[in-house]
Amino acid sequence: MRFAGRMARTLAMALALASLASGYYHFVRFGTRTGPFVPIVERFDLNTLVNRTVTFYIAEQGPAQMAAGDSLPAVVSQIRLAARAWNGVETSELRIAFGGLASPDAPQLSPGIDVIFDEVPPGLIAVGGPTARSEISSGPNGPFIPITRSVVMLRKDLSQSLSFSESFFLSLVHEFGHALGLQHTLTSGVMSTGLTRATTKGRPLSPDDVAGISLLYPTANFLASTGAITGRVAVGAEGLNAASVVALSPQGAAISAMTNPDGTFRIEGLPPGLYYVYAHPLPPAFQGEVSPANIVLPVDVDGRPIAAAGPFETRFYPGVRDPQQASTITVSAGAASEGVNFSVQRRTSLPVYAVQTYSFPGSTAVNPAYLTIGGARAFLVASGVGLVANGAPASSLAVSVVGGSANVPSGGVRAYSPDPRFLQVDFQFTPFTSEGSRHLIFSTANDLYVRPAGLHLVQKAPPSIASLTAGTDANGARIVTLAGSNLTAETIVLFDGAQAASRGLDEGGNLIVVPPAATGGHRAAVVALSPDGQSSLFLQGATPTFYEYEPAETAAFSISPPALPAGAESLVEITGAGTGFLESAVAAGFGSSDVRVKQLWAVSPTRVFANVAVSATSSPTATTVTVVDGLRLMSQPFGFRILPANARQLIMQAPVVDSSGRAGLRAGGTGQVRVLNLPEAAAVQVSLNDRPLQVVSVSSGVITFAVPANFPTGAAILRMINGADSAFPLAVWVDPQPPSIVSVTASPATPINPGRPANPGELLTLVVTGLADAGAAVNVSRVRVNVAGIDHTPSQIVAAGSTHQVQFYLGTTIPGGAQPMTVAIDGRVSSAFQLPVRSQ
Amino acid sequence: MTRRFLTLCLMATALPVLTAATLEQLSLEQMIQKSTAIVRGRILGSTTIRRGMVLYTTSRVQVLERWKGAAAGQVEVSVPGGAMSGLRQTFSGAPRLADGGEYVLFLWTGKSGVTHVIGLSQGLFHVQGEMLYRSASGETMLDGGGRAVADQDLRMSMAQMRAAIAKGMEAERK
Repeated sequence: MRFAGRMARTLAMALALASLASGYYHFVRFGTRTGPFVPIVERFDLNTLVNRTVTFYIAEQGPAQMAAGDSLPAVVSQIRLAARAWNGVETSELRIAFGGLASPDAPQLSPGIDVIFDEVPPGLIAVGGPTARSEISSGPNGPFIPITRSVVMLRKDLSQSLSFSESFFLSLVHEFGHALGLQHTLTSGVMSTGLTRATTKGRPLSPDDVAGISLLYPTANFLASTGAITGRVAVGAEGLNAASVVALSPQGAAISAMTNPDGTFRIEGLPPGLYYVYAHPLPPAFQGEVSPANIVLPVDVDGRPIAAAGPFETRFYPGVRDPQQASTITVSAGAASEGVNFSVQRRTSLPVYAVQTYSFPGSTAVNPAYLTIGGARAFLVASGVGLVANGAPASSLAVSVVGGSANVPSGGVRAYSPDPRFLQVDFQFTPFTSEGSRHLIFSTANDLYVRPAGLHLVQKAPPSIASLTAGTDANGARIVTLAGSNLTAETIVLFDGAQAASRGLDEGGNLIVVPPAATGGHRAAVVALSPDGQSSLFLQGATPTFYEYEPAETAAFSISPPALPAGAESLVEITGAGTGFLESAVAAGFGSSDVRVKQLWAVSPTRVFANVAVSATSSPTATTVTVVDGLRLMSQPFGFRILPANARQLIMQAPVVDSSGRAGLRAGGTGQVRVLNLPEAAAVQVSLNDRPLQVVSVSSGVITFAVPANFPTGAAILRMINGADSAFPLAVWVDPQPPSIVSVTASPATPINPGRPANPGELLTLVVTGLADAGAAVNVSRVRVNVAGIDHTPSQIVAAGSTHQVQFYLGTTIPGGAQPMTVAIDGRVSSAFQLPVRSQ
Repeated sequence: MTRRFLTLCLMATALPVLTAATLEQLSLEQMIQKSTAIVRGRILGSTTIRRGMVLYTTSRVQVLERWKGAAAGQVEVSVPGGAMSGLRQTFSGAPRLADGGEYVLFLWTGKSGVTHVIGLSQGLFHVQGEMLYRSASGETMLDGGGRAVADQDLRMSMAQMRAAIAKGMEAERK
């Protein structure tokens, strides 16, 4: 009761602060029973996360049983790959990192995600969810309920789960989504239940999933670069709670929101464009579901769930059944299209729902359905409630495609003759049929069901792997040659859950890859993923091609220092034996949220630098150290010790930054490091790789120092002493000097100056020093020319002696006058050059 | 021949349909076979405990009728998720057992000795009189206007359930 009262007060306070919040399917509380309804969602508090990163830890005891041929490194690699799906969402600020294997008694007091293997009853495969506080916090995007810790719980017995399979991987991505604060949706994303999911290992997230996570953790410009649609779903004057409203782009995206208890909705995160909008009820709960689609219903001020509206007729805006008569809504960046209201009629039941689609690129049924444009098998098979009755399509059932990119011919909807419990739908293509996801509409006499992304159109059949041949390249490095079909330079090749580096195609069209490191004798399932989302497993099913690593010496590692006091930050050096550390494939974790890796570099195949921070509130204990090297999983239980805090210890805090505040140093520039417990009148000495540095200033615990112009590029160790006291060292990456713009000319060789300003739209040539080594080729994709805040991609870059010539077309919208211009390569930005521009 | 092959493959994919990513759908026969106990019982009270990183709501169930498993007057059933110490842990699809509510429960006890509802919530049937609701939440629920409503799904009679269990037990004995 006291809990409910406290909740009521905090919710009322939060409501007063709330801005209009998204109606995406998050875990939601409302501060009122009578409205106005402002969803308050559960999410991690980015401000409490180091580097805005939530770390996940995998229980070190692992699964008790695994499928034949499976291994803990293979399972861990798939878990890491699943987390990476969410980590890669560019419009989300949240990042996800691997924190290593964790012992059951490791301190886990900070926000994080625990992946555990537990005893679960038959019928349960995996489950994930957030643990949130009862109190509400305020943030820049409004009030929210902080997630303190999340759990992804997998079966202890994985003997029936093949770790390389699409289903195991997608379940992991799905459960991580729950752990981050996402609920089920009905929009065919990875957060849909298995009944209607339409994503794959090659494309694990749908636009709906991306919008869902981005709305919880938006980047600075996410809401400004996307738009919204708002409105209400009602029967007469009565608003309908938990109705689903979907914005449907004919080009493929489907993004949804759930209505509030008064029927209002707000679909956010929509890329600008045209959308159809439809409203539909949640389907009835299936056996084993406690609510429709197992959605955790929003709760009111007293914590009581607010029931979803019952069945009602599905309608496209503006209240039509026929999508041909539907209006499109224009969505603009940073704006909301309002008044998209639905007046619907209640129904007693739904005629069609829970439709799943399958195709047959080979002899295995593939879900979701992928059809090759112009291919021989231009049909899909569908299962679902209400599609088939008495061995024939349900009365008056018709199927169509939104956008008309493919047609269902007359007579193209029939029972699937080999098994008439399923529905077969034939398709015809036109010369204008293009690739992408297509939405299907199943119409009956008085209702309709929309299946977003019910069909994926592709130009090529799935990739296939016929054989693997191990070999070595000219430098003696191990390579693997994949022979098969539809393998291209863009194909991603996974060895279990670790991506192999591609070397491109040989003259015979075979794909050459460098396999990730693994323990000798390890047997990895090799899977090829095409950019359109298809997988070689579409053809190979449960029998992929395996690659067996040759026997090799056992790899091992050691760390230095093996212990740090609470509150310390330090470089921890990881030294490998028999390892092949690569920057893109190495990870390290200390198995506890009290010990966090802030930065990490693989400086050689046998050496890794990690800047590690120990929580100031930690108690002395020992944790498990884990190092991942490709598929090689190495751990040392009790390998790292947390010592009692030393209140007077000098502590340099990572990251070390340059003069612009960017992490890292530049040769010839200045750097800054913040030091805890540094006396005001400190006479400090700073060195980089034992080379003394000039100290520019010491102020308020911040040391500013100069980096010599000729300091070599790469990882270096920063040390600091103050009299008899010294700080723990930190690792830092030193970049070469930034590029510099020497001159600007227009063609042919016309210098640009105030007397001859540049014309908008004109081809300009910059002479730049410091872009790359003399004579080195530079890909244009690495370089940006920024004029007046607008990025330009060069059309050409030519090495010319010790300089490079960068050619680009000046944007036609650049205003007149002297405009600042910079050149950037890989994040290194030149000083501004004032470019005279002719007024238009 | 090709068509037949395609059909078999389709069935192999379609039959073990997952109602959610987390669940493997079990038939009533499978639940009877895989459960270690099947009871009709009333919830006497619930408490939340922590096991490792997971909060479990543990409910004491007074057994009113038992069809499978060792005889006992009470059983303790654990469901993942719950609230304690100012924290709430939520799992999509986890059922809530209401105090005083009457249920038919298909239970499974693992090696640890902890008893769960089979298939997260698949083995849970809410009892009202002689009727069973297939998957009710058992929680007081409100509609959009703040009015209390019952969570109703498909229903079957207790007699039908008894007959189905008896048939399943008979098949298991054979």
